[in-house]
Amino acid sequence: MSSFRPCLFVLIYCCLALVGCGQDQSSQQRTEAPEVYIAAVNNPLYYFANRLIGDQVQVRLSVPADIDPAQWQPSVEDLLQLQGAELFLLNGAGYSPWIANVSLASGRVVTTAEAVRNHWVELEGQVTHSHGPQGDHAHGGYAFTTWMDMSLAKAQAKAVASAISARWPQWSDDVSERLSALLADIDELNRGYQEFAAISGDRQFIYSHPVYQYFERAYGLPGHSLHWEPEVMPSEVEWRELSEKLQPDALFIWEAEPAVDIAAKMNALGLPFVVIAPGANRSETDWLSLQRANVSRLQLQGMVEE
Amino acid sequence: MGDLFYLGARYISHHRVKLLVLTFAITLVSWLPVAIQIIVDQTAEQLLKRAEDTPLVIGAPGSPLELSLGSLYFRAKTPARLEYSELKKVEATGYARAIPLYYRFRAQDYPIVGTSPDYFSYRGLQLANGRPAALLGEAVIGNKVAEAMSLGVGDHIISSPESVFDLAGVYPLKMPVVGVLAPSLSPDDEAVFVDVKTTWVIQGLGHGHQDLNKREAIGQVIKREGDNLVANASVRQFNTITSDNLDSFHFHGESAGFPISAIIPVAPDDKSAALLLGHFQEEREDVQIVRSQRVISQLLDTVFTVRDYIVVGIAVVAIATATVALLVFYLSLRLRSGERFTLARIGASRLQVQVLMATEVICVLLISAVLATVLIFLTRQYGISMMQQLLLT
Amino acid sequence: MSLEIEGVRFAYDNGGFVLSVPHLKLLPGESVALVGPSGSGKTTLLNLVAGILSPEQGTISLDGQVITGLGVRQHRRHRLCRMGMIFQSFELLEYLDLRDNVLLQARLAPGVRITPQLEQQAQDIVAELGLLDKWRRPVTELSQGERQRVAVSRALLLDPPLVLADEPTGNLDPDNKRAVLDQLIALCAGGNRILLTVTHDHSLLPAFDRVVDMSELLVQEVARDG
Repeated sequence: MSSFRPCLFVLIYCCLALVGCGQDQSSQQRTEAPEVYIAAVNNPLYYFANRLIGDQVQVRLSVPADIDPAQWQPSVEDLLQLQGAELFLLNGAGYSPWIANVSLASGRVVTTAEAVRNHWVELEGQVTHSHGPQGDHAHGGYAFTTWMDMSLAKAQAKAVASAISARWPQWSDDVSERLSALLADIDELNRGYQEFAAISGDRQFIYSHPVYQYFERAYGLPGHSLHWEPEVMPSEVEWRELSEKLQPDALFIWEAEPAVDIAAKMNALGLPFVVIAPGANRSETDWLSLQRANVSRLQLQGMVEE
Repeated sequence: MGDLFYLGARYISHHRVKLLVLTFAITLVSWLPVAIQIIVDQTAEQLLKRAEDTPLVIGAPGSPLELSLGSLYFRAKTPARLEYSELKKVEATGYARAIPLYYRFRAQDYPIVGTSPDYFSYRGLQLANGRPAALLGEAVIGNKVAEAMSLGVGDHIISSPESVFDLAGVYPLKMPVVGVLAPSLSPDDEAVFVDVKTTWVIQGLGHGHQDLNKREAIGQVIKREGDNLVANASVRQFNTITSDNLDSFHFHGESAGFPISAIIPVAPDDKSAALLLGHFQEEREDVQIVRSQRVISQLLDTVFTVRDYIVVGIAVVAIATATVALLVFYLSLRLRSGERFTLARIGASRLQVQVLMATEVICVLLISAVLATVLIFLTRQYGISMMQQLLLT
Repeated sequence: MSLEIEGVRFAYDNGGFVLSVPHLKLLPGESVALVGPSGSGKTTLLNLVAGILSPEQGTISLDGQVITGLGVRQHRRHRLCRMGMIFQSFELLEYLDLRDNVLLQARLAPGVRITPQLEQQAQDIVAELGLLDKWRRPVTELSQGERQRVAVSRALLLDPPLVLADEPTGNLDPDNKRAVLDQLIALCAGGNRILLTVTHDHSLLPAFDRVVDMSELLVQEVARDG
């Protein structure tokens, strides 16, 4: 009797069959080979992928240059583009919260910071909720500028490399070679930041935005984060509040070069500042160069202080 | 000769009911065995083709046949549950990409298949209208679903509750149709495709509701415990996912533990497929990996046996019908003996009488043969889909 | 056009019956009744004239042409084209309507086509017999008398010089008997046809020009009524 049910299925299938007979089978022809590309969600990952894959596969960064990739909400067209990507490099740590509510093949999505999940920085003061029979479910968040901790950046670069090698095993030797070079470059950045931390570790740090959590933790440079935009003159109240907090050795960290009048006002206050660009956005300058520029500026800042 | 055929035609017209019944019976017994043969063969061919296109299927332990039929045709009533984390495990082997399938729910008669965008490229499915599903809650429907439910891009399709008494859990989700697939002559024509996460929303594992931090929700918040707001169960939940409320949708717990029905591993080559097969057969007892082709072939062997029995049965009926037809013709000739005698007396030649008598037999046999041939042709062309139409309407 | 039977002798194979007709001549337009007890050979003689049976001796000639000795095929052709046959049980085809029954012999006859003219002739005969209003009526819906009139129409359509009738009124009621016979005799006389009729019904004999008593093998002249 056990074979009866399947037999019944086939008999029903004969009737309910899902297939018309003898019709032109050419309509089942598969599509032509689609364009092969890797999509990245931010500039560091875009850079890592480009370094690792070389010229073999195109790498795309869908986010326009003037939009912070962390704030980017892809349109349906963007999502369809992402669906076509062989690999979609995601940052992780809640960087692209929209990922939960879109349709992407999980096998193509690489959450590059997933392997270092236990190093994610949890944000404080996030509201969770619970209701109905299901009970508690938390929606607490994480800080997401993971790559500003160069050890995490290395982990992310490794994740990109391993995804590329898995997808294109034939290039894995090349990828591994390129990864070594990339890791060496990131190590160099790491050393640069560490050197700066060694000489400036005791200073008061004021960060223009709360995007430096990983940087602060990795290099022992905790500080207070504001919400200042480099091109928007803060209000008098904000200046006053800042002045009240300032210690004599304070250093202000900007994400990008502040406007001239803001810089002038800081100079007038006697508050030194330096730009440490996370380099999340698409840029003319590649991510490594941006980071090297950060290090150079910090080195220069260190020398000035000394 | 024309006059004789005229007379023959008059005879046939006069006895049309009898001859129609006879023609019908002869047509039927000539056509049926061939039709069964054609439909079973074509079905077998299609079943095997689908199985060949989907060489491996991974699912929860149980009947390999149920798993194969479920994952190839979305027909399983209560598919066994597999955890979504298995998908990652398959991918982690490095031997294959993995496509999830969750076909537990239905929209009226049609299975809702939760999957990933890879499914469409894997099956080579083309869109006739619209675009692929990009957001949670969006549906792409097979062309037969579109036809049968008169749905197109811009319309909505609603998931059906699993049972009338299903008050908790699965509640109808209204899903916008964003694409209609071109006919693929496969079970995909009769399925509603959504992202696997959308099926979890249907199951109640994810939902969207009003923001509890907002003023309107104040009546639903029972208490505040630190950073956690405790709300009562009357929080207004959305039964449609729109661009306005999309961001409010969220899932309870980790997706790794969420259910799916099966995984289609897509190995780049035979070697990887073999390695994957070996990996699962040797190292995993909590999941099964089946070779669809082998399973379907075994099933078809049984079906062919059943078909042979049916054909033999019909052959017996055919012999009986032929005997009855002979008897009818014989009795008819006997009844017409007076007519023959009259015709001979008024001077009709023997040939004329014979032609006139034979018209009946020739006509019945000829019409039956033509009808059976046409029916066989139609069966070959449209048999399966016609039967489907017949049974669905 | 005359029918002449000369020295005809016929015996069935079982030898129990011998028919002998020394001489019998029928003139054009003449109606002749064959009478005699059962077994006297009336129908046999009719069949000999029709060519269905062949005599052992003697000749039968129609209009001077000897028709005995013709082959089966010629006999049939002869019957179709030059004779009209009327039977006791009408012998109509039930699946045909009145029109098609009337045209039946014409359809079977070689060289004859169903033209509008022929159909008109058929209608004329049927009209003369008073059945035109039932032209397309199935014969199963007609009365016995009407059916025999249809048979008469069929026999006369191709204008045969000789009409052979075997008990044509045998299945009719008394009123119809006389009426059908009168119409038959009138139509034959009008067409200058020879009518040779087998009958048992002595009440009808006065209608005929002549009565031939088979038992005596004598040719009796009987004065016609009126």
